[in-house]
Amino acid sequence: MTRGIARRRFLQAAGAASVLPALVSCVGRAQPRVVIVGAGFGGATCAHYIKAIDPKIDVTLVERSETYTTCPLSNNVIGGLQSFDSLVHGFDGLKARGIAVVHDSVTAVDAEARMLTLAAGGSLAYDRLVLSPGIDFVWNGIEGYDELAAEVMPHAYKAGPQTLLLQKQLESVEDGKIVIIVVPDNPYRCPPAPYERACMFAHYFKTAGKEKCKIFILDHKDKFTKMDLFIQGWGRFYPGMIEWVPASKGGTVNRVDPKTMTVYAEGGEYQAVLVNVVPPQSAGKVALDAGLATQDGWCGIKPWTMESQVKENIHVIGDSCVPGAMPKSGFSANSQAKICAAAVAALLRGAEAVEPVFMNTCYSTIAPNYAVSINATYRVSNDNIVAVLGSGAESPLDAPDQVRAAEYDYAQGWYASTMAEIFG
Amino acid sequence: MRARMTRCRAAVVLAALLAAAAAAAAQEPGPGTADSAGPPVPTIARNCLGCHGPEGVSPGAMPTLAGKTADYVARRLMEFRDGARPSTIMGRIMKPFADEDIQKIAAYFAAETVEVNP
Repeated sequence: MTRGIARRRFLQAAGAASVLPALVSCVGRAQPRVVIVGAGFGGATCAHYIKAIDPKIDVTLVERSETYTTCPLSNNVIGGLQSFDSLVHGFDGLKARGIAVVHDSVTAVDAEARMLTLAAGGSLAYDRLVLSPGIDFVWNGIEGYDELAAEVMPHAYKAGPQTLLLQKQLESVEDGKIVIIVVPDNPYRCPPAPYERACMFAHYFKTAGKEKCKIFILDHKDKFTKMDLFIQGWGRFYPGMIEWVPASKGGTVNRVDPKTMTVYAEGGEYQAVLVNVVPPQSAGKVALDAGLATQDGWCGIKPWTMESQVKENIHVIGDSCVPGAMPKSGFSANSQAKICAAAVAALLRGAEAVEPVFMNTCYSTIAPNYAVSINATYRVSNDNIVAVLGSGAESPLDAPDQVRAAEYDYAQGWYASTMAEIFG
Repeated sequence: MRARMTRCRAAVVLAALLAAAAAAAAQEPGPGTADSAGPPVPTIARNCLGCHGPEGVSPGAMPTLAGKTADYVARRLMEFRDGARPSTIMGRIMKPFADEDIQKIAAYFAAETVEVNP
């Protein structure tokens, strides 16, 4: 087989595979089976691209929920800028592409037998497994913050009922009251989200005539992504309303008490009418239960294939993996999923994975029609994902308003494109 | 059918273009592996389509790239890099690219188009 040329042609075709499936020819075992767990930015993207690259691969997507609700743009919902329904996506588009969608939970992964056990009692055999379960929370990582506490002090860090709970609580806050956002140490999902959330809280207070409310961000860190842009935006749009307390000034929170609505930070106690706790996080439970964690509850991967460093034939993408220099974002998960899909398809036909390049772009809303972004390109060096020098940066601090307005539109545009790409 | 094919070709062209661009960027100033031929085309291009839409057809605020010529896209990329054309993020993405990289992009793109043209 003239492998070099064939592979080259294959890859070119794969680039537009969703429109050129006939060009894709596959060699290898008949009907290889891929099972993907989690139908979000990572899993659903991966399912789509594996099927697009090689329609002969049997792709099954296992997802607990009947619909998928995105975390990206959910802060806009809390701020009243868009509807909750705009975050919710169904799986008909994926099914129409020939992907089997199974609504169930995984109770066990047998890596040796290459078999999943499902909560409903069934099982699924696979040749390769892709886990994209997002995050789970480390309950009591902050003392007193467990699943019950989250019903009083919402995290809203998995979009869905928690998003609506936080929005409802926000609307019940009276003017002049104190609200708190607790932010964990790195790594955690969507690094700018807590700071964007502060903007959306403040925006809501402004529109509701509650400008005397005060938002404290109690942070486990001394710096954060897009920091100068956020601080500039807070000063301009929400003067006096948002106070960021870094770790060096006592912002680290070690304990909360939902009964008294008290937050115990190293710098002192805070009482508030609304406490939004972004808890410490880990890889999704299914990945932890499968024994894939390599460091502090996250799953190390081989960047060329996104395959687990611990177990063969299992790939981990999205928030659960250790992505080197990449942030845990929807865009990152989407990018990793494409690399993983190409690698899985290649490995299943006996070829080698090709060298990956990843990208991330991440928009944050500061106010209506006013957003900022950060971007970077990544490649692999010494088995680690590293940022390409000079490849990215944040929005400039001195950009005029029309640039911020354009970025607000582009944030929506990114969402529209990615949702169309993933869910059809 | 004609329109469909044009769109397909444009998407592939775009993929090739952007992939080569990103590969060039990755190799130029980055910490990449010197003995590597660089990442292949669609590997990069799929990243771009996340913003510019499936098959290069954007449903939102980003420009649709399908149907644009290679000359046009290459010129735009250079203008973004040089600040001759205002942008929000494309200038940042293109910043590390040398002239010759972009010229290679154009040449590469022309060659690749023929090969994948249905």
